[in-house]
Amino acid sequence: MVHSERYFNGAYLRLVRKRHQVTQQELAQTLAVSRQMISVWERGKTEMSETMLSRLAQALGEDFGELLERYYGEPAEEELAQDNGEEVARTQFEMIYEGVGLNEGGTIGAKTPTVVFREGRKAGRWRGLHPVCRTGIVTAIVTLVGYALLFTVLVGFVAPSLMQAVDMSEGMRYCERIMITVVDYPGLVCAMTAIFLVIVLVAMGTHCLIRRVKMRWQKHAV
Amino acid sequence: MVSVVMASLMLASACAAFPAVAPQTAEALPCEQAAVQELPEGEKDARLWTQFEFGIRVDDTDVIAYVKNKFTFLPSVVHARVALYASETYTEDLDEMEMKCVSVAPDLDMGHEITAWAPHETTMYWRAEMNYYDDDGVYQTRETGTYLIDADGNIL
Repeated sequence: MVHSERYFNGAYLRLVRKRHQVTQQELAQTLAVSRQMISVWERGKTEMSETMLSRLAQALGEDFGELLERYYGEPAEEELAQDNGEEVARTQFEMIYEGVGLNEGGTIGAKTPTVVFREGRKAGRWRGLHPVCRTGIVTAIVTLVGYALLFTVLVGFVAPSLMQAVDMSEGMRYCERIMITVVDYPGLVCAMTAIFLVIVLVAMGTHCLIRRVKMRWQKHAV
Repeated sequence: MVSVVMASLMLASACAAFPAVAPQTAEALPCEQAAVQELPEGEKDARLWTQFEFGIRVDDTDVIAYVKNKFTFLPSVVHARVALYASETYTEDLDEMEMKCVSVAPDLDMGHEITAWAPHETTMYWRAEMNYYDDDGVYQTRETGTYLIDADGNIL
């Protein structure tokens, strides 16, 4: 995170805390702040004051000078690769931004790729899922709601109206009217499931295609 | 937002395919030409949800046995056969009655009907028979009751 032209490295705070096997709650109590505040500092949302850094160093028995240096320094690889897949995400990010908007110093605008990557990762984490997966889930939910509405209409309105409908053609006299319903329940369930899957897959595929085209177009435009 | 719009479009396009659209329209054959037709193997299980109306009705000149496909969910092959029988004495056994007319539809579209008819020139007992494939692909038979109809088309 960049603030007033100064970088600060929240991930290092988390690393130090974990190294001492202290929970956010415990650290919050020690520093007399809320647990949310610790989380905000560690996620790099806001900058931790030097006073607080001093109290943190004291509480954890760390060297204040080193803590200060590392907090305002570039994140180390071990901080970047704290969980599996993080490195892969970073590589993907760098591929996406390869040659796009990188300054001579290797920064994107006023930010280093690492900072931008970290912000993007946070945004991704906030969203929780890949957009294409989200489309799939939303499509599935909408489809299920649609199915529910469809069957409500069919069973609640269409079927009774069919049972009651009478051909009122002039001069017609009915001796007998028999209603016969043939329903293949297993077949119906299979067909509806197949349609459901096709709808979801087509929606996801279309979204994926749109994303690719959009990305290629953006890269081409740059 | 994009996801919701896309999902709605997908569902709408799928719903458009739900009403049955059978490829061919069944027409009642003249009684002289009508014959029982069996469905080809593999098409007997093609129905998912079908509702028939079957019965006997009378107009000014004819007694009409009919089968109507009132509703079919998703495109399906809906086979139907209807036959009209008559006799001068009351009976519930079709073997003792004379078949007046038969109509067969290899694929009866939703909203369409097939009819088997004969003129009510004299007072006679009438009865109708219908055949269709059930959800297990078994050929089923249903019959109406026996009705006495006079020459003027009155149900007695």
